[in-house]
Amino acid sequence: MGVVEILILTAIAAVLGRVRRGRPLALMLVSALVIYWLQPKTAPWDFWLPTLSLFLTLLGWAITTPPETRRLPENALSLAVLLGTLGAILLSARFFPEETPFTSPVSLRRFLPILSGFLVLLIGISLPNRSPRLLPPGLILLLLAIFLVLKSPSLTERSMALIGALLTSNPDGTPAPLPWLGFSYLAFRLLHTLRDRQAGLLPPVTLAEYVNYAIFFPSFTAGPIDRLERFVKELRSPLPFQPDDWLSVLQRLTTGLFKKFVIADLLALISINDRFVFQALAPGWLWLSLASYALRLYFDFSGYTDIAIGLGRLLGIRLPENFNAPFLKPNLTQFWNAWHITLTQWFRAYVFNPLTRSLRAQRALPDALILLIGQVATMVLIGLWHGLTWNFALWGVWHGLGLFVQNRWSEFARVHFSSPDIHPWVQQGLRIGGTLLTFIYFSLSMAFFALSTPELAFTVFLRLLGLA
Amino acid sequence: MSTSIHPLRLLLKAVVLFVALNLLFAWWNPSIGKLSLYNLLWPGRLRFPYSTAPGYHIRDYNVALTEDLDGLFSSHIISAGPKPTDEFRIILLGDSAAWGGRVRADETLAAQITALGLTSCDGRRVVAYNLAYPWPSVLRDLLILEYALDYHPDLVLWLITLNGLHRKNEDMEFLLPNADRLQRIAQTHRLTLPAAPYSRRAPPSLWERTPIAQRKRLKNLLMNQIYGLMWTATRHDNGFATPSDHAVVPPDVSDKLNYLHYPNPDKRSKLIDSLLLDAIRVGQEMAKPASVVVINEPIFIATGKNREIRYNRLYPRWAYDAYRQTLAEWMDRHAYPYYDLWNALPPDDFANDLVHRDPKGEAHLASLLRPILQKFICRQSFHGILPHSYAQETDR
Repeated sequence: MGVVEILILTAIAAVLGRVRRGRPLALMLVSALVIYWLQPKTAPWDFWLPTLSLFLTLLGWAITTPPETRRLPENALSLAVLLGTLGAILLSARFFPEETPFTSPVSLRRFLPILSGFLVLLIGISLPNRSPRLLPPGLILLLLAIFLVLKSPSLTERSMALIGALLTSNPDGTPAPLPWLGFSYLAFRLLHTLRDRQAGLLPPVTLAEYVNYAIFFPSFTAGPIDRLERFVKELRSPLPFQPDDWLSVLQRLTTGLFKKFVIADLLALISINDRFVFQALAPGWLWLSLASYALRLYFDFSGYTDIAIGLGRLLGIRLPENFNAPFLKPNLTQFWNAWHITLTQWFRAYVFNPLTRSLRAQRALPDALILLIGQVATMVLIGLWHGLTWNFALWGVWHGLGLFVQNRWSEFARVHFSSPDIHPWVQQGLRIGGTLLTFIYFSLSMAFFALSTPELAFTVFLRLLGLA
Repeated sequence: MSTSIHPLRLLLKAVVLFVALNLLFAWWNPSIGKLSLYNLLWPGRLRFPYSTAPGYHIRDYNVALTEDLDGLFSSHIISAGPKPTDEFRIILLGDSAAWGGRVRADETLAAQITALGLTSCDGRRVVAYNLAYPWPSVLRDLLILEYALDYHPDLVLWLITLNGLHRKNEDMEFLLPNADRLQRIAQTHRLTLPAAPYSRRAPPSLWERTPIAQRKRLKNLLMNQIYGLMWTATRHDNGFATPSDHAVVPPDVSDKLNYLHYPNPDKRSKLIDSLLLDAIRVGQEMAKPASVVVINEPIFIATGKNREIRYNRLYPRWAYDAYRQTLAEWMDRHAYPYYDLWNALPPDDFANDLVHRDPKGEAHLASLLRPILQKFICRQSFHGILPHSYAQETDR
């Protein structure tokens, strides 16, 4: 999203936030339009990827919603609005192919049978009085499979070439692959509802509420990842918007824009890259470029989060915070409790906790080893979420080990060094030292994150020490 | 007292403040390009900031500051301080070949000339400064020359080629933003400018001087300052300077006769008429008392198929020969120092099939220029062609 798109979305949110009647429907309609609008414009993906996002969302709702809620008449109206929106997008592409901001023209001969098939599937899932037990794990597997494909460049290329050939009749060959805007966050939200449904924790929600939760336009592209029950509560009873709230919203939006488009974009100019590894004339420059990358990542991401939270507030919904001054935290555990908070909470809830619970249930492993396995596995998965490469796996191992060592050290220090007699200055010094060490540790991990191969990352480490 | 905030009032205040700050900036019109961390926190650049294309700046650690002569010069090492008394200062003007499109900043022709270790007859060490800028354009070179005179050059080495003299091939990105300066030069020196947008452009309006209207320029100036850190860290300013970027120069050329929009030799006289030869006179006048030595820069000369039709991808023989002959006669008529080095370098001194030399070619050219420079450094006149000519041998 660029500045212009953000300003347009701000204006839309400011107007939409004042709507009282039919609010969930209006918000759903706008979110559906926005996901088509923001998807990069390359046929056929600019139509099919947002449409698949909608299809997956509808499936998620049908599978996670109890039959009595599914049959509420308002859901039929919501479905009609969604299909009407889809129809309007298709018509605009057909009759105003140059002017429409939503999508390129689409072959109806290919789309209509797929839509019909999908609707039959949706009705088939929705009609029975009891949802088959295999559906939630089925959709979970499908989402994970898509994840796997999208996070592996070679798989993405091959599968998109195959699907592209089926969807188009372009004589010039298959269309180039394209990023699926917002899929990661959509998948996290759908997985959350599916797992909570399996655990019997998910509250029943209407179709419009579920769709709004899944594709809420302020947080669609870059999070934060809210929880359904919290989101729906504020969707049903929007926070009152006082005149004074304008100031906080404007502050949040301008802070976000400044962080993203000034600070992060400038830091990007001096952040580490593959060529710089060999071009830097002294190790100090490599340290600086790694730190720049870490700071850039923070300002970029937290800037987008500020914008999302500001837009959400305009719509009467308080999205969860995603960052809490992570670079001021004195250790790695606190850092990860303050960095991309909603993602780490998601992984804690759906990976770390179940995994460690399961390992403990076997009673065969010592607690420390369970912790080590849990932390490394969770961080490796977070790493692989960025891409299926060795670099991201190593990045995960780096942080998993860091968390484990820091946890063990904290335990050791608590037993051996904690004394009320320690001078406050010493405590302050230890805190500052810990903060610096945590920042350096995170910055070093950027060698795995920013560079294209593990070899380059290890070369950086050697060069940082003046050894290469 | 109520502390509540009225959103419309807040918006109105913000708009008023924004407009006021813009107007204040436009009225003040500060030379913001002169504010620079180069030569202060970062070492000055050895050549002007430039990047091939908007998407390449990350690769070059560099941005093109075509709109800002202040920014170009304040980034350059020539602005590091007053001219030392023991320095004989040569400035190089020219296009991407002189800038060093395929070499590192410390491998360019200017750096190689400095490395020759010449001294003037009064004992001053000769230091050459690269003030070339990519894209051939003699009018752009005049703008740079006029600005560079504040840095007291003793000698100007002006490398030109056919493309740079052709009035339809001017560097519009550079000339348009500096049109008022160019028009002033033209007026002062009675130079007839081509019928182009930069020839009739009015000085910037109040709106054009506001930060919001100048946002691209201000962004580039800011990026140039940030990239100073990468320049300090790497001394790298050109993404095409590594040997892997050098094309394997094909020996063959196409059989097409056209040059720009001239289809064939029948248009020879039209081509000659379009050359901005008078710009060279203006350069000579402006630089006084420093001498301006004009060099017809070496070009890649193909040795394979169709070499009898074209010299290279840029030039068919008929057009280039006509240009050379015209230029030589014109320079001779005006008795301006001129050396035609068009064929002075063998093909393997080039990094592509145009005019860009590799590091070996830069050093070779510097060594060929040594006798010419020595003559001029000691203020002796020296006219003629080089004793050795590579192409004279190959053409036989």
